[in-house]
Amino acid sequence: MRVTFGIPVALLLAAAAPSPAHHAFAVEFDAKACADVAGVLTKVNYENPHAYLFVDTKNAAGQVEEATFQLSSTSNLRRGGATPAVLNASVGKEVVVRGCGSRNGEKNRYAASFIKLADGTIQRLGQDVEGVFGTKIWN
Amino acid sequence: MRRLIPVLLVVVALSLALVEAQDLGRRLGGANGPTPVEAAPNKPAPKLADGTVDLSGVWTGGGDREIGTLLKPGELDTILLPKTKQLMASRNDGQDPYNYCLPGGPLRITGGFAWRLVQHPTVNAKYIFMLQEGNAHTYRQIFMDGRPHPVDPSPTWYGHSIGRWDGDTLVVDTIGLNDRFWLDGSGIQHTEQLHMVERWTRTNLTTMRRDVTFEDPGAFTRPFTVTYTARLGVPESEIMEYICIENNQYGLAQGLQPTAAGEPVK
Repeated sequence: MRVTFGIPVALLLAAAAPSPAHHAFAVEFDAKACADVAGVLTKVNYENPHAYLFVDTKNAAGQVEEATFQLSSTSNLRRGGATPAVLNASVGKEVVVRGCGSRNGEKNRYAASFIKLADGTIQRLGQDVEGVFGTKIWN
Repeated sequence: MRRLIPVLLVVVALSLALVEAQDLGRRLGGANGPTPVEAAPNKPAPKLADGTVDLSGVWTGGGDREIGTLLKPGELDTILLPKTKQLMASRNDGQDPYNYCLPGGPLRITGGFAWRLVQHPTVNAKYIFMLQEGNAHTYRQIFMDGRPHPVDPSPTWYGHSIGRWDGDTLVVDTIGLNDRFWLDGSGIQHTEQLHMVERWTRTNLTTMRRDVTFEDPGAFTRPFTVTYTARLGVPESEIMEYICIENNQYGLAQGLQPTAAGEPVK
């Protein structure tokens, strides 16, 4: 059921996209360098033209590194349900963020697509540039 | 009948999945701007007490697509003067002043972000305002009181706009534009000679058609017209605060160091 559910979601979102955001994604971020980043959400900056999330992740050596995620605008986030309260409820807790890396290779800087919050719910944070939302990876 | 049952089951399952998907899609949001209201092609555009069409509301779209995509294949090439073509070819998306929080000009003010049209006063309006939620968070004013254009207008981002009604169509004539913004996201350049004539027609309750004619002997070989469509937002739609220069980090992830808001990175 999850698979049959996912295909129409992906099609729906693909059909809904892409009204141009403030900034063209591809100028800054690489849609082929996306990954699930797990860690502790430390801060939510609810601001424009893009909101930001900060997540403490652990590298291969077990050291903590801060990852920065650029989100959509605050109005888009609110219209989509990712209000400050919804995001702030996961501060200090484990989350997983789908993010695509920066074109200049700067480590730990991403454009975020979705987040799995501490309570397991998923929120849209930005463009689904990979078209993976609703697939078996993110559903 | 037995053969039909599995087919019916699949159809029902797919229908349920689609409904579920649409709900989820709405909940999660997607593109910029308000959620468009469900299309209602059979419901007419509302009228005001004096019979004038009511264009007011929160809209999305109507100026966001690149001009070339609205023309016939190869047509843009015949419209751009060689110097305009050359300048456009030298540009990349990273240089668009719009990305540095500067205004996008009269075409893009009704782009991907939410925007509100205000007729003031509501009946027999002397002004029409277009308020853009996004980007430079600015407004455009259209004078409806019959005044002419100034003889020597200051070159500005939105120019000098005068409007009149042609039946149920709002006709807006704009001159006095500066040449600091890109006409669209593809980097088409214009000069201060740009003259725009827009025809706004609310074709039904939920749809606004916008025919835009561009004339600029400094940039184009001939006048040309493109058509955009704006969609009405759901009834609860509002424009929200969006201050682009609040914390614009444009360019950082590209390896550029943005300057202070005002001038793009060269």
